[in-house]
Amino acid sequence: MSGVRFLGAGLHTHLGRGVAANLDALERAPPRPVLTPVPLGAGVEHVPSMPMADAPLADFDTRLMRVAVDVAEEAIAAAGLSEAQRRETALFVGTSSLDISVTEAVYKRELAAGLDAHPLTLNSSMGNLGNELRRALRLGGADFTFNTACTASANALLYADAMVRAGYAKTALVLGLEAFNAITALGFQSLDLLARDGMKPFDAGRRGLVLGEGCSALVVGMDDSTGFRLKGGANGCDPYGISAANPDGSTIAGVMADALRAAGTDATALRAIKTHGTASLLNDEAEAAGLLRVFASPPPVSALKPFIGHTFGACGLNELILFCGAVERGFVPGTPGIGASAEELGVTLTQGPTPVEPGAFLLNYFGFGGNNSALVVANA
Amino acid sequence: MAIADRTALMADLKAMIVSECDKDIAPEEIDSEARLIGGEHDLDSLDALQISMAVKQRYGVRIEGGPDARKALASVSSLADFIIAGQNAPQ
Amino acid sequence: MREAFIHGCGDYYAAVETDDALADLKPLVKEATGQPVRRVGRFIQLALIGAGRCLAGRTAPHDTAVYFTSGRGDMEVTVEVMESLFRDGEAPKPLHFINTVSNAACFYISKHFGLHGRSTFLCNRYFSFETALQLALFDLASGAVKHALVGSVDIVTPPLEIQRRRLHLAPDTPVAEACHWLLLSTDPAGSRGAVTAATVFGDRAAALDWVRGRGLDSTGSAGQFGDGEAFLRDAGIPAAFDYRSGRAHYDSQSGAAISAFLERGAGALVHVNADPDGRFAVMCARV
Repeated sequence: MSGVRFLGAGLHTHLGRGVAANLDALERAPPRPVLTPVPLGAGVEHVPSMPMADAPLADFDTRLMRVAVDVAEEAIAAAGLSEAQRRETALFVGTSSLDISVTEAVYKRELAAGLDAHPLTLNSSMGNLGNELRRALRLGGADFTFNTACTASANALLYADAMVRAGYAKTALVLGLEAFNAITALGFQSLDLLARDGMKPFDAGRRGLVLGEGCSALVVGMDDSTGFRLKGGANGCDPYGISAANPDGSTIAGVMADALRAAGTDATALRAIKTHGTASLLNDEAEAAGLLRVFASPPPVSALKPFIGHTFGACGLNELILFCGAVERGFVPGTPGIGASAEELGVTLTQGPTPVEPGAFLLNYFGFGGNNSALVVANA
Repeated sequence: MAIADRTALMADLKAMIVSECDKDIAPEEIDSEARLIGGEHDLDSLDALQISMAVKQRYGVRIEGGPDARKALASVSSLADFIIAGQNAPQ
Repeated sequence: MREAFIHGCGDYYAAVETDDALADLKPLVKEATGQPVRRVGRFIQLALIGAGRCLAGRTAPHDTAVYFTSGRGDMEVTVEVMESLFRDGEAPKPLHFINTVSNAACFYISKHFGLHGRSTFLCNRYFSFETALQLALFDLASGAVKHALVGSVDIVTPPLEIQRRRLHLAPDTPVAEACHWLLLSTDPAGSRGAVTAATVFGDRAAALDWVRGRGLDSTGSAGQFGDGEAFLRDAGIPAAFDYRSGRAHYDSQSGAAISAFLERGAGALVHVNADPDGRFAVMCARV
């Protein structure tokens, strides 16, 4: 049966460059985070991070576009899009920090040179990155940049899928992008949300998150293959708190239930769940409570941030591509020693690669500003 | 530290809290002994982080997270004690 | 595309003529939300003012979705964080950092007006308001959403000389702060008019075909980008509705077109913007 399918993916994270390298690494235990030095005043802060592999933290003026174009071209090649098809492709970018890494580099250089330096004088337009990407990739359709914190690329995919389904665009390229920048690094440090010894979601030893970097791209279009597709999804705003979902899990349960309803899937039919799992005290408490409201006995529950860090606006698509790729290889990723006991929050995580059949899967994403999203993907 | 200094420090802290947390009240409306976070002025955990950072920048005293932070930020009075103890502690 | 019925609009516009001439928005926020709102800057304040004026004291259904856009986002908080970090060597303050996420404004709208529905901040280089409206119309047409608040906010961050540098404007170009919000619904009862289309076309010919194909007896209006007037002439629509004369520069001027047209009286509107790559954004409305 013909429908909107995922036609090709590209990925670059701490685990590696290219989808295959990432999936290979998912079969092993999560790597240790590194401490990235970030200058602050006269001193240097060391921030727990998982920067993209083989992409040195240098040449910030061009690094962002180089990475994004490479990843997008990987997805376009995997989908086999022709030049003519590119001209009918719309672009949906999901990012939290946009091109702020470039803006920082320019401002720092102008300050160091003793110029009359002001931030944002080279570019201040929030739509500029999407426009430049569309041009560099020779895409002829509309472009949308979603900037909804940690749900940005999940929301971008929701709209890309819906607009292709409705015939507003023949093909869509969804792009998740998050590159290292000092504001994000030190901002999360100010919020006391960073953990030096790695992310341990749903674990009694959870201490917070690790900054992740990553870029992902997914081509969606009409196809009659049996590959992965978005079966349904939901997004809502939780006015409980700007930096935390309602800890009773009610709003998170609500968005999961809405996503299942949109997908026409029953909670008992799911093969596995990918949590948001930021390993912060409050997120995991709320997410666990939400899961226990919706699932009497949950299917295998997995967390991917221990592998790649929290990639913020890009985590929606980064983790979807990792998760779907692993399932296509026959397993749900697992995190040995992390979230092993249900004693803390009532939720246990898969403890290593866990065999799985094709079926339907739930993916959770929650962001600052109360922005909550859930996606149901299926390959059967 | 003398009592007069401590009183001045508390007045300073109240002004700082009003400004950092963008409260539409006069500093003296904050009761020195009343619960600061989650109390009548509706300050939350984000306000607590904001106050902690301002204390570090202004008084050079670092408030670590967890139980210590809860104790230090219990009231303006306890915050003043914490800063005085921190400033007098050997470096 | 089905029509989206207009149930309210809320606007704010103020030219900023000197560095110290920014209006105090706090009283307007209080008027719009019924209470003072702390820990927010001008960007979020204007979002609350626009949404509040749009709702005009009515209680919106709690599943009302929010589509929010801006040309530059919260430049005030971004500049503040960058200057203190790189120039003054101070880490971002928690409350500033939190507000650097653009959808922080959506949170405050959700909180103060009791909305729990879909909530999105999205942007586009030349067509910010048009793409937000396009997404809202799309969700209304698909049935995913029944009520939608669609709005833009653009603020000025002095000094004005630097604001103009940031926007790549000629020296002395007048600049303004503005917000424009529409309350849309699938329900025609009590509406003031309807948005009938918001679409982006890949090239001029496709846009022209589409506009001609609608065969409307319409009033045309050109937006601030590209040669919209020539396009309208070629489409056989007189460019008759000018909502832009006398307005100082801000990014999301297109947001003013529909609410200004509502004031003008009965008729149909075709509004056209073009980007440098030859794409065209068309919005249509009727009153």
